[in-house]
Amino acid sequence: MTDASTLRSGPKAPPANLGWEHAPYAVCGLAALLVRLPALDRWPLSPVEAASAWATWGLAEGRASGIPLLDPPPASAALFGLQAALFWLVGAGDQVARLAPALAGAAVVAVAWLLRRSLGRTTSISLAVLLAGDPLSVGYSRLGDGAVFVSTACWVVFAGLIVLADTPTPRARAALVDGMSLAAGFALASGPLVWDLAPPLVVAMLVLRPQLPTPLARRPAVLAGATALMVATSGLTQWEGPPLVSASVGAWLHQWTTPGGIPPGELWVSLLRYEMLPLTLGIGGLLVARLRRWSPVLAGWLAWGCLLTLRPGRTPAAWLVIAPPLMLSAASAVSWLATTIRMPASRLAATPPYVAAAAAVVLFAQFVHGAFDISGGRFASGFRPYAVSTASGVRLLADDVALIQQRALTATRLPLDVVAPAGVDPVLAWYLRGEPTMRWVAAPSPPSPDAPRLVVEPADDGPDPRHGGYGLRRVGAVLERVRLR
Amino acid sequence: MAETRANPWRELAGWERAAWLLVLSAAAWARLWELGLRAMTHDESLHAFFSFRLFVEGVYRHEPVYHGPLLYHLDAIVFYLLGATDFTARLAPTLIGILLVASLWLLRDYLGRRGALAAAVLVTISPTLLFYSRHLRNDIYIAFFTLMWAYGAFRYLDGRQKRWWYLVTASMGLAFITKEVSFITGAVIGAFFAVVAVVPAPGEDATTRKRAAADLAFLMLALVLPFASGALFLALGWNPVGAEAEAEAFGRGAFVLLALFGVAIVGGALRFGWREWLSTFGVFWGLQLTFFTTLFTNVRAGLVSGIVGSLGYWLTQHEVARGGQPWFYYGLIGLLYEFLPMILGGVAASVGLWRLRHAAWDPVDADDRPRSPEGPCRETRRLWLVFLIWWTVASWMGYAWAGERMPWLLVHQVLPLCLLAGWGARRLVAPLERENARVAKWLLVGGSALTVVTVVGVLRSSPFTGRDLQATTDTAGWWVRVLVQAGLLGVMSNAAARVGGHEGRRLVGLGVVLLGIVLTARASVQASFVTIDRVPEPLTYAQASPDVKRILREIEAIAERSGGRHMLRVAIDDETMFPMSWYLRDYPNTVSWRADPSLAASAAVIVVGLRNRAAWPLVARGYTRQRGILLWWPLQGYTALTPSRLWTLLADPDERRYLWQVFMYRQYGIDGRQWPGNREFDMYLRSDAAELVGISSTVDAGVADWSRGRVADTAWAPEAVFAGPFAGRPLSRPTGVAVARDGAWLVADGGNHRVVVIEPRGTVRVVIGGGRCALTEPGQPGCVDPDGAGPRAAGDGQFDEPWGVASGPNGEIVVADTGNGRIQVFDARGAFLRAWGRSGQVPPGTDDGAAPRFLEPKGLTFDAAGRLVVADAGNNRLLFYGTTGHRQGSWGPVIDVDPPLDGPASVALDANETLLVADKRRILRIDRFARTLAMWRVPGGDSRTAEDAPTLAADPGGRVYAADRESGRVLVFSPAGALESRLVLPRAGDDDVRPTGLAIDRVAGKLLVIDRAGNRLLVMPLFRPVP
Repeated sequence: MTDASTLRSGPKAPPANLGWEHAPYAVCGLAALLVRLPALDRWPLSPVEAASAWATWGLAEGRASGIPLLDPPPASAALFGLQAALFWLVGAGDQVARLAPALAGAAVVAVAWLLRRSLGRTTSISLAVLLAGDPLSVGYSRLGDGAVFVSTACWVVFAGLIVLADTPTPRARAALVDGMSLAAGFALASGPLVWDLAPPLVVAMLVLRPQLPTPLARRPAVLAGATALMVATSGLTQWEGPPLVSASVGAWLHQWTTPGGIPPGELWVSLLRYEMLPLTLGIGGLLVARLRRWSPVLAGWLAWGCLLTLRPGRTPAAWLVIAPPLMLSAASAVSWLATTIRMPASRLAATPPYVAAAAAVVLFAQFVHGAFDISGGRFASGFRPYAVSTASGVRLLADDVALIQQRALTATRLPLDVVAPAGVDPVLAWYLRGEPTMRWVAAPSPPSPDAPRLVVEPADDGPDPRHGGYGLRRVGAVLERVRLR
Repeated sequence: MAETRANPWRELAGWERAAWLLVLSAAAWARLWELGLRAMTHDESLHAFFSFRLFVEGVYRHEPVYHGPLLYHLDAIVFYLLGATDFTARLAPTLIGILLVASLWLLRDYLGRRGALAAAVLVTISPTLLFYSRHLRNDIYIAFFTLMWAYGAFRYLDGRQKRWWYLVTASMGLAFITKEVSFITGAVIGAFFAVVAVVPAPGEDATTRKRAAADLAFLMLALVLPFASGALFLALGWNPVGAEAEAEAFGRGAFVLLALFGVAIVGGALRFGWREWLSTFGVFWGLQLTFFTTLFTNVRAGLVSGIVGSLGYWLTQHEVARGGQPWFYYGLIGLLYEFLPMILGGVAASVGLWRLRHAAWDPVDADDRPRSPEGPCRETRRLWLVFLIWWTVASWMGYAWAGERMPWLLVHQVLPLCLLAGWGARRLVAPLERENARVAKWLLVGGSALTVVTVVGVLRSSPFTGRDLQATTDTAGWWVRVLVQAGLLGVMSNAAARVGGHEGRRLVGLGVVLLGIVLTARASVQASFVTIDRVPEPLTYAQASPDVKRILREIEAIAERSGGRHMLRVAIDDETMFPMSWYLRDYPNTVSWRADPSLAASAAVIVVGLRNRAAWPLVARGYTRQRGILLWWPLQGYTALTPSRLWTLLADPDERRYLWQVFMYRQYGIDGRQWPGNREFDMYLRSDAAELVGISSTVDAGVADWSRGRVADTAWAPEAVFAGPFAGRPLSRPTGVAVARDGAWLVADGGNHRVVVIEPRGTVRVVIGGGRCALTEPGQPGCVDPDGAGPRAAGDGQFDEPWGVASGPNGEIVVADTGNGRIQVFDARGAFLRAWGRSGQVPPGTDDGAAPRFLEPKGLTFDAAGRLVVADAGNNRLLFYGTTGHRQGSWGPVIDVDPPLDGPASVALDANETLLVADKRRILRIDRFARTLAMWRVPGGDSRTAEDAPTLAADPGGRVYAADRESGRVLVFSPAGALESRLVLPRAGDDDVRPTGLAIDRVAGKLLVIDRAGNRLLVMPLFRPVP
C-alpha cells in the first residue's frame, strides 16, 4: 500500500524501522530553524512589531506597559506574554522580540511528525519539507508578530482532527483531545488570525464529527480557556494581556471594514512568486489524489482563504489561512507522483507523471530560493507584511543619540524631546527606550543656549535615509572647548 | 581475578545522561558566550595587565596585595597562545568554571546521582559562580581546587590510597599559589578532619577512618606550617611585606623560617616516613617556590613575599576592613542572588542533622548510588554530609567575621551551599512517570509554581484603597488573583489526592524549585549578559563603565585616521591608570603621570581622573573635553541598616515597592551620571584629533545638513578659465576632470565624446576619442574597428559621452565610458590598453563578475590600495578593480553599505585616503570595511537623479569640496563635516553655472571645476577661511 492512498483507505500500522524515521523530520526541523533564526535583527522592527515590543518591554522592566498609549493596541496576547517573559529573562532587543515567533514557526514541522501514521511516510515527510521551507511562513516567523503562533496552533488542531479519526484507544484519544485543547487555547490568545482560521476548523469538526471521549465533554473547553488565560497573563504574572484578546477581535473586524491592506494584485503576485509549488501541487493534489472524506473540507477551506484575500484590509497573512489545505494536498500529490512513477501502468501512462515531477522539481527550487530570499531579509523584493516598514536608519538615530549623550559634558543626560504630534511613535519609543530623559512633545520648544537638549523630529524635507525618516538635531551648546589663552 | 570497572556513563538512565549533557552544554555556553563584552573591573584590568607584562616582557613580581601568581602565569600562557583581548584574559578562569561544573560528576557517590545532578544545575545557574567564572579573578580557581581538595580527602578516608593523598597535596599546592583565602579554606577543612580524628565514631572501619583523618589533618597542618612565618613576623613586630620583610627574612628572620620548615619536614617524616613525606612536601613546596619566584627569576623577593607576605599581609588587612561592608553583607547579596540554594540548603541542613541522629540512616538512597565497586561506605557518606554542613556554616561565618568583605568572596560560601542544596533537592529530581495520573502530576508541578506567583501578586496588591477608577481596578485585580488562587488550590488538592501524599509533596516542591530555578537563572542572565557594566550589580565592585570602551573606540578611530595606527601619544594619570593601562596596552607612546601634569602636554588624548581635574587646566589648551564614568560601585545604603530601620522599610509601601524594583529588576531610579558610587574621568582630545572623530564645538555630531543655511554664499573668483578650442573644437558639455600623476589635467569632454589631456597652461597634450560611438544602439552607429581582424573590437578607444576620468598609479588614463556602460584604459600617450563591461542593469543578488555590466558608470578614482573604484550609479554599487581589470570587490549587492547606496555618482579620496562617495541623497565617508564613518545629507535627495548627485574632491588639508549642480555652488566642508562655505562661481554670459566635475591639483594647490553649462574649466584657488 502506498502513501497516496493512505488517506483514502484509512490508518495504517506504524512504519517499521522507526529509528530511521527520525532523520528526515530532524533535518526538516533543523532546516526550519536555519531559515528562521539567523540574523533576526537584520531589519529594524516595523511600527506594528515595535508597538508590541515596546509595550512588553515596559512590563518586563517593571514599569507601566505602555499599552494605553498605543493606538491601536497590540492584538496578540500570546506575543505580549511571551515577549515579556523573554525580555524579563534575557533582556530586550530586536532578536529577542522576534525569537518566540521564530521558534513557533519552526515547531510547525512537528505537525508532520504527528501525522506520520495517518498520512504515511512519503506524504508526511513531504509535508515536513513544505512546512519547513514555506517562504511566506518563514517571513512571518521572522517577525515579532503573533500570526505564526495562530498558524502553528491551528495546524496542531487540524492535525489532531486528522489523527483523532485514526486513534482507536480511548486513552490516546483523550491525550490527543487535551493537546488540541491546549493548542486551541493558545491560538485563541494569539491574535486576529485565529478568527480567520476558526471557521474552517469548526466546519472541519462539524463535517468530520470526531468521536470525542465521553467523560471529556467539558474538559476541552476548560483546558482551552485555562491555556488562553495562562498564555495571556504570562502565567498569572500580569493582567494586561487578556484585554488584547478582545483587541484581536477588533483588529479582525477592522480588516473587513477598513481599507488599507495591500492591493489584491500585489498579494497574488506575492503568492505566485513564493508559493507556486504549494499552489500548483496543492490544487493538483486536490484534483488528483481525491482525498475522499477530506476533499470537500479542504476545498471549502481553500475557498474561504481566497475570500479573505478580497477583504479591504488584506495582508499576506491570508496565506497562513490558505496554506493548510494546500500543503496537505500538495504533500499528498507528491506522494501520488512518487507512487505513479514507481509503479507505472504503462510506459505511456508514466510520461505525464514524469513531466509533472520535473515541473515539481523546478518549482521546488523556486520554493527553496523563496525561503532563503525571505530569510535573507529582502522583503522589498515581494514580501510586504505591513503597510509601513521601518528604515534601518532609525537604529543609527538611536546610536547617534547615545553617542551625543555620552559626549555631552553635562552631569546628567541631556533632555531628549521627541516630536510626535499624533501621540507615541512606537518605533522611536522602542529604539530610544534606553534614554531615561526621553519625553514626547507635540512641537519643539524654542532653542535656548542655557538649556541644551536633543530633539528628534520628523524630517522636514523628506525621509532622511540615515535616520529612517526622522531628523536629529541638537539645541544649545553641549560641547565645551577649553581655551585658556 | 580483577573486577572489571563498569563505565559509569553507560550505567546512567537515558534521561540522566541527557540531563548531564544538557547541564554541561549550558554551563559551557553560559560561561563562554560574549565573554569579552563587559568592560573590565579595576582589579581585572590589573590582573590582565600584569599577565600581559609577564607575557610580553617576562616580568612579574609576586606581591600579596595582588594575590597568588598562578592566575598571571596561566593568563600569560593564554595570551601567548591566543593573543591578548578581554575574551582571552578571562578564558582561563572560565574554563576552570566549566570544569567546576563537570567535576560535580565525581560527587555522585556522596550526593547521590540525582543530588550531584541537582548540584550541577545549581552551580551552573548560580549568579555568583557564573559571574565570577566570567571574571578574571582567583576565586573560581579556589572554588575548583577546594572541591578537589575535599574530594581527595574523602576518597582517602576509605582505604588511604596514595593517589587521593597526592590529589589533596596538589590541590592544596595550587590553591596556595592562587589566593590567600586558602588559609581560611584550609582551616575549615583541616579543623574538620582534626575533629574526626579525635571524636569516637561508629562503624566497622572507624579506626581506619580515624587514622586517615589524622593523616589528613597532619598533612594540611605540616604543609602550610612555613606560611605561619607571616604571623610570627607580625608577632615579633616585623613588617611581613616589602623590602623590610626581605631584609628580616635573610637576617634574623631566617631562623624563624628555618625553624618552621624544619618542624614541618621532621614532623611529617616522623609520621609518614622520610621518603613518603619528602615527595609530598616536594610536590607542595615545589609548586610554591616555582610560582612565587616566577620560575626562579625572582628568587629572593619572591620567596619572602610568598612565604612570609601571603599570610602576613592579609592579617594586617583584617583591621583595615576594606570595602567597609557590614557583617550581614553576604547575607544581603546572597538573598538577592542565591535565594534558591540558601532556602534549599537551609532545609537540607536541618533535615540532614535531624536524620543523622539515626545511626543506620544513609544520606544517599541505595537506588541513587552509582554502581561503583570503589564507592565510599555509609559512614563516609554520613561524614560527607556533616562536612558539607560544617563547610557551609563555617564559610558563611568565617567570611562574615573577616575584615575585608567583597562580593567575589561569596563564591567560597555559595559553592558548599549549592552542594548541600543539591543533596537536599535529590528527591525532587526524577522524571514524571508517564502512566499514572500524568495530568494531575503536571498540575501539581505547574500549580505550585503558579501559587507562589499568585500569592506574591496578592501580597503586592493594594486593594480597598478608595473608590476612584484606579483603586477599583486594583481591588478587582486583587479579587481576580484571590479567586484564581482559590481555584488553583482546589484543582491542586484534587490532583494531590489522585497522586498520593508523598509524591504530591515532591511534585509541589519540584514546582516551587523550578520557579526558583527560573528566577535564579534570570538573575544570572541579567548580571552576566544584560546589566553587565551598564549599572553596577551588587555582585560586582569597581566595575568599569561602558564609557571606557567607548572612549577606547574613539582613541582607536583617531589613531587610525591620523595614520600612525597605535603610535598616538596618549596620557593617563594615576587615577585612570586602571583599567586604562590594560586597554591602552598596544599604544607604546602612552605616558602615565602622577604629580607632574606637564608630562601629558601635547598628547593627542589625555585621560584624567577626578583628583587631577583641578590640576589639569594648568597645561590644557586647545583641547576638547568629554566627561564619562570610569568606575562605579554598587549602592551601599544598607551599611547603616538596623533592625528598627529594616522594620520601618518593610512597613512603608513605597519602600516596599522600591525594594521590589531592586530585587526583581535592579531598578534604582537613578540615572547613570547621578549614581552616587562612581568615579568620573575627563578625556581631553587635542582639537585636531577631535576633528578626526567629528567632535568640535561648531558641528552637530553625526549629521550635517547644508540646507539649514547657517553659512553665507562666498563669491570665489577663478584664476584661469579654459574653454578651448582643443584640437580644433571647444569644450562641449564637459563632465569630469582629473589630475594626472605628471600634473596634466584630464578633461572628459562629454559633448565631443572625447577626453582631452591638457597641460596646466592650457596646451593640448593628447586627445583620446572624438565622435560618438553608441555600442548600445542597433547597428552601433559611429563605432569603428581600429584594427580590423586584430585583437581590438569595434568602438575601442571611442566614447559615448564619457563622464569620469582618473589617472592610475602608472600614469594610465582610465575613462568611464558612461553611455556605453564600460571602462576604458589608455596609456599616458592615449594608446588604448583595455576595456571591460557593457551597458546593463544587474539584478540585485546576481553576480556579474565574469561579464561585468555597468549602468551609467560615472565616478572614478584610485583608492589607498591602488584599486580602481568605479561608481556604477545605475546599479547602486561601487566596484573595485585591480590594475589589469579583474574585479577585487563590490559594495552594494555583495557587501552592503549601510545605509545602502542610492545612485553613487562620484568617488574621491580624502586627506586620510578614506573613500568619499556622493550619491543622489548624501555624501558618505566610508572606510575600507564598508563602514560609514560620516554622512552629510543632500537636500531634496529624493527628487534628484543620479545625474544631480554632487561631485567630490578633497584637498590635502582634509577639506571636502562638493560641486552641487542643482544650486550651482561648490560647497566646502571642514574635515569634520561642518559646512564652511558655499563658493559662488562667476557666470559665463547668461548661462547658469552647472558645476559637474571637480579635482584638486595638489602640486599647484588649485581647485579645478568643470562648468557643464558654461562649457569651460575653471581653475580656482583652494578655499581659505576668513580669519
